[in-house]
Amino acid sequence: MPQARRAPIACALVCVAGHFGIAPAQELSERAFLIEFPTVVSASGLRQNATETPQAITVIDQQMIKASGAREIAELFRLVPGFTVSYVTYVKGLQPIVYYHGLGREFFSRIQVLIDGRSMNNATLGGIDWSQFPLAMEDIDRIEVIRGPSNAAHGIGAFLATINFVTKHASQVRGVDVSGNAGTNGILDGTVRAGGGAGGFEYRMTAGHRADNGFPNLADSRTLDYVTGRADWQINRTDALMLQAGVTSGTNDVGFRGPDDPGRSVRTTTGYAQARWERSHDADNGLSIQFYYYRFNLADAFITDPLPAFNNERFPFDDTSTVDRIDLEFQQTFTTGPDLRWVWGAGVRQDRAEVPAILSVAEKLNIQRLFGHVEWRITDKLLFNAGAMVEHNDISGTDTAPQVALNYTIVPNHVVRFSVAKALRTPTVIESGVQGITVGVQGGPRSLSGGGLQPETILSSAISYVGEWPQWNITTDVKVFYDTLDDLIGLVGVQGGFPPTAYPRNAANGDSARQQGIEGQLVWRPTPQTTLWLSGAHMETRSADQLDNYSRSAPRNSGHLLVASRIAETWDVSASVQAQSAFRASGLSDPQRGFCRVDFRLVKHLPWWNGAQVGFVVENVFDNHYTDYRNNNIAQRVAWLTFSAKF
Amino acid sequence: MIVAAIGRRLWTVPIVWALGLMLAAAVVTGANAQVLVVLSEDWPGMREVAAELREQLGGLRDGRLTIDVVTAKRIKLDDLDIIRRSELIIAVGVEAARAVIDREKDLSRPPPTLCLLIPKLRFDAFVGTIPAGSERRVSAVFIDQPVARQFNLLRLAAPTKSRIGIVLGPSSSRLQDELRDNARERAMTLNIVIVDQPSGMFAAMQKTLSESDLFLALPDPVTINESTAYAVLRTSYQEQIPVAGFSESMVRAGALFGLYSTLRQQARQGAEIASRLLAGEAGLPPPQYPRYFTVGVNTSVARSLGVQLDAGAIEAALAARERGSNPRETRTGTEAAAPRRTP
Repeated sequence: MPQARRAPIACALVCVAGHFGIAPAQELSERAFLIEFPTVVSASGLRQNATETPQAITVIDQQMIKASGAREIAELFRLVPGFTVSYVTYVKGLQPIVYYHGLGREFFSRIQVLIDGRSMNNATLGGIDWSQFPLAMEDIDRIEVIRGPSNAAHGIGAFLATINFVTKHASQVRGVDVSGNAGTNGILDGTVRAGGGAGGFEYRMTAGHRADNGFPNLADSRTLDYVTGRADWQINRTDALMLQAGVTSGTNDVGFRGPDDPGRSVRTTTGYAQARWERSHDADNGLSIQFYYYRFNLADAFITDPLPAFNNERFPFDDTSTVDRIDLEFQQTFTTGPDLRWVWGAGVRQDRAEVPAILSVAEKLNIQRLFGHVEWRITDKLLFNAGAMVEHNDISGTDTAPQVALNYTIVPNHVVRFSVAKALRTPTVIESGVQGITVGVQGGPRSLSGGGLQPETILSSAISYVGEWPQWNITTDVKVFYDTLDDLIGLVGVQGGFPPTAYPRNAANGDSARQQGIEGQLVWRPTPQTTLWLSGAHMETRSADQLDNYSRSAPRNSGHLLVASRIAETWDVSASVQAQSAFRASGLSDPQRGFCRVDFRLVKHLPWWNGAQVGFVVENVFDNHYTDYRNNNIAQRVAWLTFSAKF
Repeated sequence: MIVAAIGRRLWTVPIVWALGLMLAAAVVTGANAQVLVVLSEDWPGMREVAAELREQLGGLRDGRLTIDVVTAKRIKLDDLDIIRRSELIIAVGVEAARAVIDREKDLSRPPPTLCLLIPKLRFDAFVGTIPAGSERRVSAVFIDQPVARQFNLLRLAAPTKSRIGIVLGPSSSRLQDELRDNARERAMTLNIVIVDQPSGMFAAMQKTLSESDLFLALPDPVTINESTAYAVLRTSYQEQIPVAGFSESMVRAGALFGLYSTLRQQARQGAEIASRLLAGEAGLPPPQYPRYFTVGVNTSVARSLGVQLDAGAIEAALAARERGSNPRETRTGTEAAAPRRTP
């Protein structure tokens, strides 16, 4: 290489730079080449490729979230095969409810929902308060939906499925972002997000408001205000600390059951704090300790209307409930050789529920769990996964939930997976706190006294195929499954006493159910500007339905198509079509008829204002009046304007 | 007792004196450091380079070659003797090169100087300050990898990725033309964003990643430094865009693969140049890029992204490609001592 003779001006530039402008830290030296990088893809941050997961998994990323146009997080699960999204109103106001394979009633749906490893399942009845969900859509990095039981990997409650929200690392938010929606049906939303940081300490904060009027003919308006924050401190190359905290406060208009349930507004407040310390040398070696606290309070003290049956007297009533949860978990990942990767850990949790209407004292539930998982690359083509969780709780003692999976690569990019998993659903505080019933019919609900409730169990077997065609940008996966569920806990009757509440009178392990079917998804990117997501499911449930309706609780057929395209560099357009056949959810539901719904979104990026966009979304374009959960929950067309900007 | 024994035999006195003088002479001549290694700072990596140089050069001249290792600070403060007496100076890092070249200006016949671990940009700037006729006296082994080699690696390791995203800073922006030429030759599209402040990295990454299949990371203190390193890798991984890195540390942290010369490899090349000079060659060879390199792969990230990469095979193919295009460079072959695969 010929030695370059530089003109004296180069010398002058170097001299000037050295003396005046460029700070020493920004001067190019060998340091720029030898910088020590902190472990970014760590043991917990490593995302398993879909061909290597032990369970069928659907990942929803920001692109899909934006394309869907959803303003409500629960709506996103329409995109996942086997999922049903519905809305319940009559209990505590407008409440979305998300089911996988049906089997869900108005309070819960037997799935586990986590935000960064923090369980969002309400300790009273195990459900998820989607209306009070403390997470802004824009703060989602991705959502991992594990379609199948996975106690070993995802802990207590990962019964039918697990939804794991992974939020954005604090370094992913910079400056100030503002967004909002305003539209029909009283829709008014706003979010402000800010992020910054220096020297390895990053933070992000979000404040938001959401409001809408719910169903057209019902007084079920709701509002939500929330503030959440996350800080990530990269202590050194291997150690990182994540801190999160948030509060929400929301109102729901309720009161539909009659004079003993007068129209009123209930206020729900929640708060959480979470800390996770992680040491990770690389993607295969690390350990972490996580602690979190979560509090939920539903304030509902009211006076009934004059009751004709009681001399038109009015009665005060307190339907308040308060729930606390503390959870501590340790986890370690390590490898023994190039082909064996191990994860093991342990955790303790305490749930506390105070529900004066039905529990005379605060009920506590202590749960301890031990879990482990091994990934063994037997050969290049054969990957074996085995895991188990052992759980002990105050109510039902000790149980084990094992799972195994074998992934076989037929040819590169095409994998077939065989998996068998057993999981259990721990009874919640309320379920275990109410009276058992005594019925002695053979094969019928078992006789138990309060405290004898057993966990529900599921044994799920599935054969899946996962395929990728990189040359055509297509990925797909299809799963055929056969699941056996036992000891499903049925909630029987409604609490007596006066006035009657929506809480059950009894709980018992009752029905079994068999579910089988096929479900799958396909993602195709025909051009870099266009993406297409297709999902579909067909399934059947068989059950004796002694304590509740299970056999019709999932639609026999469902499908969803979402197409998104970037046109002329500044226009984003997307449309989605959802079709679902008739079904009837468990619990106190009405049959829901089959329907087809079309949504549309159009957004324009403003080139003169970097990061700004305006647009509109129409949900239920053809104004299909299908019903959600009860006959008086009638869907309608809703539209709103949306904008977002960066400062 | 010995003194007494010697004293009794007076003829031993001159022998003792002669031995003493020879010892003193040996000490004095040994104090002339024949090779002076100047380190920019006393940092484990630098010491590793010095140790490798000692190991490679120690056997020369029947083991009588002396190698002194000092820091740049000493060079700045000491008198010029330490430089004047050396046959060869090896300056490791930018600070050392600057210190040595600065002080050599005060000498009438400064010794040959070889710079290691120095970015090409900085070396070219220093050389501009040296009087004409110094071509064979001052040379370097750059710490940068040649752009052509980097793009050859992209073709070998990621043949299906043809939209390459790059963020350049003030130092690396001078590479723009070379990057575009190399990309054009291989039918790749480049998405280049230039920033002048670290605070501009966030927006630059968002823009680049949205239009690229692969992110090529280039060293620059403004774009990739302690405050931006995490976010660069994190954002890319979040978007599932593979990163081509420039160091072993970066590959372990989460880059899919990387091209780099380890400290030992660079020291080895420096030692080879030094031994040729010390063996009598008239001057130093022209400044050159690293000859020995390593391709590292993060197998966990590879599996996560669904790709299969064999670091050893890619490294061999890359070396073969260079041998093919540079028949004069017969001394090739990659260093097998450094680990090929990030565990």
